[in-house]
Amino acid sequence: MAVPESPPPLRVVGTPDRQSDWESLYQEHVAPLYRYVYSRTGNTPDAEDVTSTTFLRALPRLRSDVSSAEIGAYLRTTARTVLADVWRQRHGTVLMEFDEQRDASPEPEQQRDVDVTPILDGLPDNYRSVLEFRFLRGYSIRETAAAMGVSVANAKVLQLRALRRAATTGASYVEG
Amino acid sequence: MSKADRRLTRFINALIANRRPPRSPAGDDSAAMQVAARLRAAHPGGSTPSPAFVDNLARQLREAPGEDPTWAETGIRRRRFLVGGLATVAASVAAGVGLEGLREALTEPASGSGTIQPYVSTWVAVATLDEVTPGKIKQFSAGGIQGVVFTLDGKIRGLSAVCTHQGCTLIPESGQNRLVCPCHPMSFNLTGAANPGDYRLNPLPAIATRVNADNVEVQVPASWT
Repeated sequence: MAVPESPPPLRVVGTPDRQSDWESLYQEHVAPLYRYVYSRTGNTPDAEDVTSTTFLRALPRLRSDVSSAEIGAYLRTTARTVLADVWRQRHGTVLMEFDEQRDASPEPEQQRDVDVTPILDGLPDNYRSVLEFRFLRGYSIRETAAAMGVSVANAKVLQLRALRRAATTGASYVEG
Repeated sequence: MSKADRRLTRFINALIANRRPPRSPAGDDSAAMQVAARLRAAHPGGSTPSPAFVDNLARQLREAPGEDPTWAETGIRRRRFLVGGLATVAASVAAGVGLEGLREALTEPASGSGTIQPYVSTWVAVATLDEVTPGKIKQFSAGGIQGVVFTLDGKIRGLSAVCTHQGCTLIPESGQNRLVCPCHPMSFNLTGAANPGDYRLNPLPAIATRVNADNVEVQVPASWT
């Protein structure tokens, strides 16, 4: 992605005095929204696309006299509809919510990585290990197999079983 | 491995390579796939947007098509809640977000800008049937509307020929089945949707058409003189 040497300043068309509104709103919300979206896509290309679409769709509708928390909530609501479109169009399925409670909270999301403890908790040790090696550490199947002392074929099957188990144990807090 | 196993494996491999997962039906693995995305997102260091992305998006937003930023009119417009059938709309309202045009905000741009429906309208003949045989695009100006008529999927249709970006009059390219903007490198297909390009543009409004004898008529404002 090309980086301009000096990006043009942000502004609201026709109202130069409101430039700071626009810019501060964007700068405040872009990273938290990106984190929210990334936690539901798990890859950078999708996270960037969904974040862009969300801002393009939502920003013209936002008002400056609502609170930052409300703006954050609206951005996340918009992002959910964009994410739902991606899942529906690409995989023919609905978007699930695993932590609606926290998402609905008006607090901006913390500056931290995604917490997946609820997903991993309660899994058998080998399931938990294979998911940690593969997803959290990004090990290859071969590296995962070596780390766990199992065959490559075994590791391949194990990651699928672990994921499916995690999906069913997570079902109690899955909505939709 | 079963077919479902191979699909889920490809999905996992894409995530771990930080690629967009391939298009494939989720089948029974919808939850497993979404859990996979959650897990992958939790790896250290992935969840911060790149500075280049943040800068580029800022520029894209600045150049986005001109819906008035409503906060420019704070204090003029009254807070208004639009309650629609969408659960997401209800969720926003419950969250206390006061927003203009929420329903529109949640509408896919591809679903169209609708059909131009003047309060007081009239039908004006703008083409003959042989000017709109498949593959041809006929320009017209009637009732103050710049538009085009053509045949698509066996039906005669009309579209506004004014670019939804900055109002430049679009140039029909019959052979390519598209309308090209002379101002920026953007074009629209004959469904009215903008072809992918530098800008994300709203689709072109449709214009109602009908056939009267050998003529194609369009519905345009009657009050235009």
